[in-house]
Amino acid sequence: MKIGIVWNGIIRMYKKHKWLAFLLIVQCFVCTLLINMIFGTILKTHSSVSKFSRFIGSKSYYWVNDDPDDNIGFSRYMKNQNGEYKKLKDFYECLKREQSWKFLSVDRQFINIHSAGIPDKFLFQYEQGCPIESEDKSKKDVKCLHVSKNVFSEFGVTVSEGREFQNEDFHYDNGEYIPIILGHEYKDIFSLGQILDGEYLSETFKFKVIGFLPELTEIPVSGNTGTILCDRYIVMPAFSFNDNSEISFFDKASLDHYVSGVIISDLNFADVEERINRYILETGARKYSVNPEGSNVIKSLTSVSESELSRLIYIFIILTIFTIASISITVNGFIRENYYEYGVHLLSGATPRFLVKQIIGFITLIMSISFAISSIVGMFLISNLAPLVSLIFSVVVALLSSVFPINVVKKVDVNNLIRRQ
Amino acid sequence: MDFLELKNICKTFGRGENEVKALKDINIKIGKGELIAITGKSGCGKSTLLNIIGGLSLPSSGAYIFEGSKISSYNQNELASFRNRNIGFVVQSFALINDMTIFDNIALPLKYAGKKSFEINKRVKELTDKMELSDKTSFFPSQLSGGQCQRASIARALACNPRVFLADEPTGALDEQTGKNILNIFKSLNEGGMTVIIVTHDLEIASMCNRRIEMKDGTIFNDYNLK
Amino acid sequence: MQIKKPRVVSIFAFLIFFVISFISCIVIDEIRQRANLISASRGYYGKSQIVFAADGASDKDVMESVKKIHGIALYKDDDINNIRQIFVNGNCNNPPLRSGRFFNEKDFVEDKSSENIAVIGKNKVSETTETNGQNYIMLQGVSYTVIGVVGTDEETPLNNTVIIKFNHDSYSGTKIYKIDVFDGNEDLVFSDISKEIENKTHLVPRKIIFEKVGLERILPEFNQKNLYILVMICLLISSVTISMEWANALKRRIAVKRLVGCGKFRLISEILFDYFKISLPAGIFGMLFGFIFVKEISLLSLFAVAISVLCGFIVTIPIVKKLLKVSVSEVLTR
Repeated sequence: MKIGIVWNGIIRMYKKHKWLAFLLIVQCFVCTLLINMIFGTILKTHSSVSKFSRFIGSKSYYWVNDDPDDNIGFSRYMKNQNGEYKKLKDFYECLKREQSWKFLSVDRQFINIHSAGIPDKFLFQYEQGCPIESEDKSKKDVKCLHVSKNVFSEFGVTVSEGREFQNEDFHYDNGEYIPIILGHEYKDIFSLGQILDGEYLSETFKFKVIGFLPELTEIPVSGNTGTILCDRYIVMPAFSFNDNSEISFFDKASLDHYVSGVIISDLNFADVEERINRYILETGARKYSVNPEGSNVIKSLTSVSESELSRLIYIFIILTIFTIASISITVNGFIRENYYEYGVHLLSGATPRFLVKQIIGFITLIMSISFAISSIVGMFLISNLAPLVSLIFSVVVALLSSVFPINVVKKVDVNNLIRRQ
Repeated sequence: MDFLELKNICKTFGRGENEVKALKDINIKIGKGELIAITGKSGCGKSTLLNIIGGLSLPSSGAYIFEGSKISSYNQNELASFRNRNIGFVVQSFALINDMTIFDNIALPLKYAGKKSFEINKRVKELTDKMELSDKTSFFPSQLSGGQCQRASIARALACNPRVFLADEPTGALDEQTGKNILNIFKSLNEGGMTVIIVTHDLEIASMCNRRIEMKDGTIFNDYNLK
Repeated sequence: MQIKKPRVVSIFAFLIFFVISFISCIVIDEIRQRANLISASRGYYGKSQIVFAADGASDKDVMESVKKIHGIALYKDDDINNIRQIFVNGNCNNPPLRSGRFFNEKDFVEDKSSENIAVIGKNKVSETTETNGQNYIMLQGVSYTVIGVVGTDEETPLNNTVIIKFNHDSYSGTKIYKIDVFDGNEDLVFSDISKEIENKTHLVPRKIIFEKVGLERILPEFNQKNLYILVMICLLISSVTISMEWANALKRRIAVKRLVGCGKFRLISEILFDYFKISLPAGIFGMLFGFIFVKEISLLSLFAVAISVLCGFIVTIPIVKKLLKVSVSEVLTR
């Protein structure tokens, strides 16, 4: 019976202020939807930013590159004068073996794919405005990235389809396919398992598509931007070499590429540079330089994106507080409108607790209706988490919005009724 | 044991410079079945005294004892229960809820007393028959005359068979004839054994009562039996 | 003079309007700042910029071709030296200014073409020299007058950039040109520019579909417009609810005024004047208070507050008219 009185009181209050109650429901619905949108964005941002920070942003990088102006040194190397190839190979092994850092072989290249249907955006140096175009229009020089075994695991890269590189992929035996993983934008052009004819470093190969990367996959590569977006890239393994006495052009060219990479280390720049120079002296390899600049770009991206996350959370908190304040003040207005009626109830034997239950019940009714609508709409338009987010938000707002009106209701003075105030 | 006793009751409103002593050391003993008029000029503390008797407010100091229970030490919930079971209150402005029917207005105390539907229906019918409002139960207060509203208010006050019936200027908003009709209802209630206390500044109404308490500046100026 | 004690409902109305304007300042500014930051991280170009390469054409050829198209801004970047060249014909995106001004159309008229002026990123301020109250910066032996400083609080490429006028062939940068179109369809504009360049140089420029750059690669899509709309709706509804409540609480006051002979027109105008007496100061104080927390109050915030006040005002009119029809005696005696 007592619950019945409270419920009747809630319904009466609702009917008496139909329009205001309707507006309050709409306001709560809009606020809940807004909160859902922002929360959804916060979750996605957090996931994206924390993945970037964890795998890429938290590391100290040094880019290792050969001296582009050292044409003489490069020419000597390619002619393998004075055993330059072995010297560079030894230097490469030193880089890989060094305990105080992790060396990842990752560099941009191009490979020539025999397929006329590849759009221009995949061409090497397309974004720089000067794509390399073959005379034979059935062949395209497309962007490629070679990666050593540790690159994917180091940067948290996974495939969205197919498989990642395995150990055996990094050993090439003649006649085998070179496994390649394609960037996201290739999905409409090639398919999993497709075999492509092509050339790499003047050698003819067959490339087999073993996987596709998810959209917006990033990998740190030496260069101004610090990372590259892999969507338009073909990723191939930096395979190890066979110890043949005959050193081919391919061997020399590929080794030259593999030595360009990324060092991840806690050592400072001076120490890294000192070690690099020492190895160059010890092995007699041609000059390679180390550069920390790209690391700064990555770090600034990380800090900016993290501050963006904070900003979203800030908006979320402010809007929640606004919703609570707004509902609280409006419900308070309802109470003042019903002051006389509450006085009569008290005069007739109602307890202040009855009034409190009525207020809480009214706010709960408003929040329940808006929760129901916003959950359904949110589930279709925003995410599957919308009902849960709406529920938590509605409960928190209902509880906190009740505090102020309840305090007011507790102070309803029947005397004022008697005195007609 | 007296039915109702007020011992050294004081009531102050406000604080500091704005402090107002509405009641100063009030001592009254009221027996069962009395018909009392409390009179005095406007602002002498009559309504404040009635509010304390009716359990609508607590005294600042002193004791209010009702049938051996110290009402002045009750909390809000206990006071509400006390009002619901023991007090019937009628005011000048009728205190009816405008968007509830007369039936619902009269049934209100019964709902708070936890009565079942059939009990409520029966009791409301009894009261509306008694107050000659049987054909007005589905009307709203705005559709009734002043006298009808006051009778509805009385019916509500009687819903839970109160021990004490309090009326604060019950005829203030009514014409003379209607007022007399209302007072006759009070008299008949008193004749039935109910203790009735009326606050009024009208000496003619006061003369109809058995006992008169005159108040002045928050104190009892005079307290005597008329009959 | 006696100060009237304000009614409780008026205090609440004041509070709600104050909160509305404060919230609109903060939230709208935060949303706007996010958009600005994304934009700054991408080099402060418009989202739908045209990017093209004009192999073989000189910067001068490209600029001469673009001059004929109105409502555009042309850019060319040297990412290695952090220099941007700009040409404005009508309009351009203004990066967040720290001081001074950004380029405008007037800087590119014929008689001003030889002026060496620059806008610098905030991190470049330390490289300037001051003479007679004017700052200068040296770029490859040439002195530029600094007319403005741009930058974001967070570290973006904009903070290290020097932006100069486009007529300097010495800054070769890349072969990539970017155009922001403010007036007309982008494809049509590019088509016109291509024709002009082809006529001049017999070379066909190539449109480049640029990949995502900057924070857009890390942060998910942020539907700024939808957020603005939802925030505005929230604010509007708040103002409407409080206005309705404020008006409804006037019942007795209206009855008493009518009782003493106040005419209908005068009554309505007094009530509406009272409404603006509450809502406008509240809105202004809210904005001033919000100004403490935000760097600038956007037009959208001002619009949000204005529209909230206006909607609240519109809502009070029918309520007041309805209250005028209620019987005086009924209100005063019940």
